[in-house]
Amino acid sequence: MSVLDALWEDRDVRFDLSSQQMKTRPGEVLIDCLDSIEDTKGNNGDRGRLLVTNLRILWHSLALSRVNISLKKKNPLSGQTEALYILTKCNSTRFEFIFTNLVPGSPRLFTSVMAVHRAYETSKMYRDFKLRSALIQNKQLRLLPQEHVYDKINGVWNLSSDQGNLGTFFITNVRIVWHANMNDSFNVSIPYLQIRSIKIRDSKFGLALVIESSQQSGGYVLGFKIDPVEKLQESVKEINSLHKVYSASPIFGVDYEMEEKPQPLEALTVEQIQDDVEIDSDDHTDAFVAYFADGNKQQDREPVFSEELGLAIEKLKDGFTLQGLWEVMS
Amino acid sequence: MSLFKARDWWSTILGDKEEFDQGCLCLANVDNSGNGQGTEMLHLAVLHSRKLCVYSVSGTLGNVEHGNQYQMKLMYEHNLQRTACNMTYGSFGGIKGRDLICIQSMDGMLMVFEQESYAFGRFLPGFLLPGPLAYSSRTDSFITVSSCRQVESYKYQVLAFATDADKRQETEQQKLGSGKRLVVDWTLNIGEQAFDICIVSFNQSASSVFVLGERNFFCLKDNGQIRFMKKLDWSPSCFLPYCSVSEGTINTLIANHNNMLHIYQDVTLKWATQLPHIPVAVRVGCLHDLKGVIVTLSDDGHLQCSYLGTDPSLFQAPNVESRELNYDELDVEMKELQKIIKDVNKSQGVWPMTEREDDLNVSVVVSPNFDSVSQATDVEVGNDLVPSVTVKVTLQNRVILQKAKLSVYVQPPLELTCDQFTFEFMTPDLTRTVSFSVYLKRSYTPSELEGNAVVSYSRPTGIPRVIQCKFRLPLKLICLPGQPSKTASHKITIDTNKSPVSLLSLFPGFASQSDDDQVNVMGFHFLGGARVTLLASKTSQRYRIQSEQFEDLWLITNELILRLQEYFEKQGVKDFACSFSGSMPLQEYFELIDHHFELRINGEKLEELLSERAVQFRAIQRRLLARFKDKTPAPLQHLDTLLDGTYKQVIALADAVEENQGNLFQSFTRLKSATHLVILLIGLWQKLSADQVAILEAAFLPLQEDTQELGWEETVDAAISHLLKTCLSKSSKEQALNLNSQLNIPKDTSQLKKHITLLCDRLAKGGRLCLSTDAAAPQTMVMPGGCTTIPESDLEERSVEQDSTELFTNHRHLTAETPRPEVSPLQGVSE
Repeated sequence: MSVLDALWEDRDVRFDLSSQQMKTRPGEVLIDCLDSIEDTKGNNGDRGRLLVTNLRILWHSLALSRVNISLKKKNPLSGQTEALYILTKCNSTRFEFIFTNLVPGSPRLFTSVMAVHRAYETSKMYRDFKLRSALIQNKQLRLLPQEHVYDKINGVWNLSSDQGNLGTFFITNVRIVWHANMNDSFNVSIPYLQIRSIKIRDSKFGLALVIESSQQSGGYVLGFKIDPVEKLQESVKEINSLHKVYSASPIFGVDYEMEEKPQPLEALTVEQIQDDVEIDSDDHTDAFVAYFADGNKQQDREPVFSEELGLAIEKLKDGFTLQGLWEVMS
Repeated sequence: MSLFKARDWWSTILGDKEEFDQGCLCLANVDNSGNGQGTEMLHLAVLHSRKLCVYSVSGTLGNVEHGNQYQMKLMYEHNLQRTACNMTYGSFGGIKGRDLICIQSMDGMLMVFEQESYAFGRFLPGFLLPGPLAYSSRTDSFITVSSCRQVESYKYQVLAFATDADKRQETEQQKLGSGKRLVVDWTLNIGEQAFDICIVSFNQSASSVFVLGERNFFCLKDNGQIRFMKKLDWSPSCFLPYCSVSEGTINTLIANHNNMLHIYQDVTLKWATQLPHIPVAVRVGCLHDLKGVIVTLSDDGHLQCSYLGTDPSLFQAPNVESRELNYDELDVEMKELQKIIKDVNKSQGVWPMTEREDDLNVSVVVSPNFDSVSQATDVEVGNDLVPSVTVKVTLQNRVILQKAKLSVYVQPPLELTCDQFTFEFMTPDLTRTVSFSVYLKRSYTPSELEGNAVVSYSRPTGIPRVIQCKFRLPLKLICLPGQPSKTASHKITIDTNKSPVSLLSLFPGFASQSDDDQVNVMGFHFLGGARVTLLASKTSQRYRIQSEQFEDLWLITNELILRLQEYFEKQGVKDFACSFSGSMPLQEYFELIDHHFELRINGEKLEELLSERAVQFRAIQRRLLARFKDKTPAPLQHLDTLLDGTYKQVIALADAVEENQGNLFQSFTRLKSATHLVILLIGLWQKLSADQVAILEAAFLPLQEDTQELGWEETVDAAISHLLKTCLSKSSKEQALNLNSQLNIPKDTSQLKKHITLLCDRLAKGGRLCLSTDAAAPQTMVMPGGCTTIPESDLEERSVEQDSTELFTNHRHLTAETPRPEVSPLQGVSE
């Protein structure tokens, strides 16, 4: 019973999205909209629109997740241009994006992108499956800013080891947290976002609550035993309904207040005209090639230790020497 | 910008809205896992602002797939009395088998902790703000960079035996008894603040102190001598000397604010790579069996372990502006600009010089008669009545000018009743006139009768301008007719090429007797006493000027020549010329130089004495104060008498200094007069052109006033030496200019006298003065010693008179990319 579509918006870099994919998902909010932005790397010369939501950055028909954002100033010969430089890493492939504001001296540059990225980075607890982190302080759950505890269940056995571990459940509007009573640091935080299924199954310890985490979080299967069985069923019911509520309107935890509210995303995205003719284009497959961070290679060669520099370097191609490479470059 | 990028090996983001700095990254096998070398266990020390905690970190294998578990156990902690800034550790004092910790507080106290106990605290002398701190085990000393912008080294032993900082509040007597003053071991001025200090020693080689400044990167020896330095073209953020790949050199990582990480081998750039952030701390370590991983931490908590990418990235974002050029518009703009340039070139320069005269007209009129009532006040001239003469300055503007300032200057001891005026010209074509009186204030003669009126103003466009107008004061102002005297100790004779002129017609107001037969002799009596006699030869075309004082000859000689020139000009004679054929009166001149110099030396001595007495005075005051503050006062033991005596000495010395200053001032004026005379005579003697005389004047009279710090002797000696080495040099060998970076008061005047004599000799042998560079042979310029005297070792003593080629080699050594490897002449530190 998968209630949520797998969340890809903040995990993946995608190109040539369908209009369905361009729409905001529940819980996703449009934060800023910047016009006259050029995708300098892939679509040089075209003007476009850059949209910033709490989960991703979209440009025209291009959407990408936020994995790594850095803004840097370039100093071209005439005047100063601010460019947004984004380095992303997606399944060990690095993409690089450069967005340039085509209106020189535009007062609103990419400050919102930076601020939202910061908010995103610092709110990972809302979205990520966490094992053994600093969750508990003085036997109490350290609450996230928009989080409320709905229930606290004592005497929950975690069934990961042979003998089981006695601990406590915290059920909140964002996640489920379990920690061992003997050791606070032995804990797990499972946001509803990362829950693939919640079931009651039979185990060698008897009936148990089994939570399966999403594939992207590692596909963990966690078993918990709550006695008596009535209490177990009651808890499962509670968790299930909270999961449903969450799925309808997820809380991603990315809080950012803009002074002026932009129009909703739907109003801003250009309706794609449905052509009668289906064009089966080959371009589709290599749209991403232009964005590779490292020219035309997808993966690095292995790192090795260089006696010459006393540092780890990417293994040189055959026939190349460090000295030779450096002299060519400098 | 390098085309190479650092490859992300592993990275994470730390902290929540926290900020990180250089002390925040430490890379070590802190859980002592694997085959740890030796028995000593690594511990983790964490410095909080008011607390020092030491932990032991241990790891245990965790259950199933839940991973390993690490535990930090607090071993001990110290609560700090002072807010901490940074810390360092080491086996201070050569202690075996354990490390001590030294914390520097924000207010400059070094606190030493010996495990669970606090050992001692010492205040750094002259402290203002905390700098980086490092411990050198080799010299057993702490090295920091103080707010004086110098690297300072303090021996641990000296720190340990110095006065306890906690007892600083106690009374003076106890302070004197309880410990020694903290003395710095060595200092090295680097002239900038430093970010960090690292002391490293690889492969048993001599240890080096690395200092990362704001603009330079220094490598010092243990004793504070510079091994090398590298000027950085960008602003660095952190650094790490990390290894030595070839013997005698050290590799260093330096990160900068352009997201670049540079790898230097000594001063040679070996590699550069681009980082995704600006690191505030950098380390190199062996992680997961990969050696040489670069670990960087940014101020916002991005921690990255990276290795160096070796594939260049060739993509460069095109420039927005360059892609959207409107060529038609640019063409139009280009044409416009070219037209402007053309117009400007036509009208001879951007600032037409002719306009200047039109803005403002300045004229000066010296009244032909004395003021009916003399304006002279406070004169110290003696019994003579001092006259004053009115000078009128008229300004006429053509355009509106605001705040035009008129300043008038006359040579002392001439005095003005007012020398500063301000005018507002609110409308064009206004005429403003100001008058003031000039009189002689003291009883010696000024070196010139010429005065100078300078008007400075800003044009309406904002360009500042200066107009100068000179005027001559009448000789009568300082001089009366006097009794001629036949005998005199100083005489000079001026030859002319025209028949003699009656002195009466030259100096109409100075005839003491009305009878005509006396006109070939005339006496002058300067206010203040000096007498000069002027004799005109009846038969030859000569004039003789004689006086008891050499310098008094100047004004009359000058006046005579000027009046003769005027006289013949009026007559319409054009080829009138004067000449001087006697020997140069250098001996007399040198006596004046010696007198002036003697007074300078005297002044210096007096000031030294005065400062000594002042120190003594304060010391007695302090002792007295200590006694009076004491609850049970000890007897004064005649300290009061001593204080009184010292006070009287101070006052007497101050008076003597003042008097000497007055004498020096007078002596300088006399020296200037004599110098004018010597220049005039040299000019007449060698028939120098006006240009050459101007060069002589510039060389001999560089200062309006001289001071203890910069006096006439050294300035003139430098100028004459320059002339001797350039246009008056005998061979190209002499032409290597050895500019001394500093002018200091010389030990004696023999060098100067030698140079002046040599100058006269060379001129007599046909040398001519010329300063244009193309006329002289190409010169070898040696930069002032300040930038080159970084000694290679103690043995090298450097003198000012250094061979120029030697200076060059050393200079090259500093800037060369590969300095010669040190064969460690200073293995044994601290001789």
